[in-house]
Amino acid sequence: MVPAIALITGLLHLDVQGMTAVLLLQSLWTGGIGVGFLRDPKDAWARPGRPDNGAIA
Amino acid sequence: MDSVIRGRLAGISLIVAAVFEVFAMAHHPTITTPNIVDAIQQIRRARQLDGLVHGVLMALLLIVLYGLSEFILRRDVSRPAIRAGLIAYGSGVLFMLGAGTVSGFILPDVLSLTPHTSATDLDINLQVIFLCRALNQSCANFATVGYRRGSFSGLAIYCAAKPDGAGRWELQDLSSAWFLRSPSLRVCYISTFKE
Repeated sequence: MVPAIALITGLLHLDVQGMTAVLLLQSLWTGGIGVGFLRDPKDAWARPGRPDNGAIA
Repeated sequence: MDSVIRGRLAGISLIVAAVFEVFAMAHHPTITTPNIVDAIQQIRRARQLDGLVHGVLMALLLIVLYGLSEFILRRDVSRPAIRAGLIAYGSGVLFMLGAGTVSGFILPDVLSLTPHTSATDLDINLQVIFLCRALNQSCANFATVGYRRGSFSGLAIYCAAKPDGAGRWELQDLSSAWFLRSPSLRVCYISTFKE
């Protein structure tokens, strides 16, 4: 929880250990989104009611 | 490009980048001595590894941003909160690139080019190390706080919010947004929700 709170408050001293904690949390988040994409490549994270799925005309 | 291919590309990019970020960070060189002469020698010796680790981490930041761009498009980039999150996250990435450049390239290069034989040289080197450290910490702090607070909370809340914009919340939506369960994101979420 210390890195988590520090991320919000900005009190974390970002030495190598602190930066590793930040990267671990970020990797969990981005990796999780990535897994979501692979599980449903067509519709993952698509906003409901947006049939074009983010396509740019 | 077909949305299936785009989705797969984004998924692979995000997962591979997440794994390699942790792997690269585990090889980040550290200074193990308080002595300035030894510290300079350590930095000079680890110059190539320093550049490699920081270069890889900086490239991975951009790959993650690429993967998240697909996420942002699917969440609808025309929405104000998503745009705000994109700006906050993008500026965070820029500052993190700055922090990596200072720590991985500028400091080792300066220390390899400057003399460090006399006491005056060592004093100057120490000042340079302090300056680079301050630059690195300032950039990294701004990036970390800025792009997490801005984009993570903004994106997470708007992912979980009902699309009708009525400001109502559904337990089902919140539980399906499983990435909110990460401790840091939960704090982000609570913090922003209170605001």
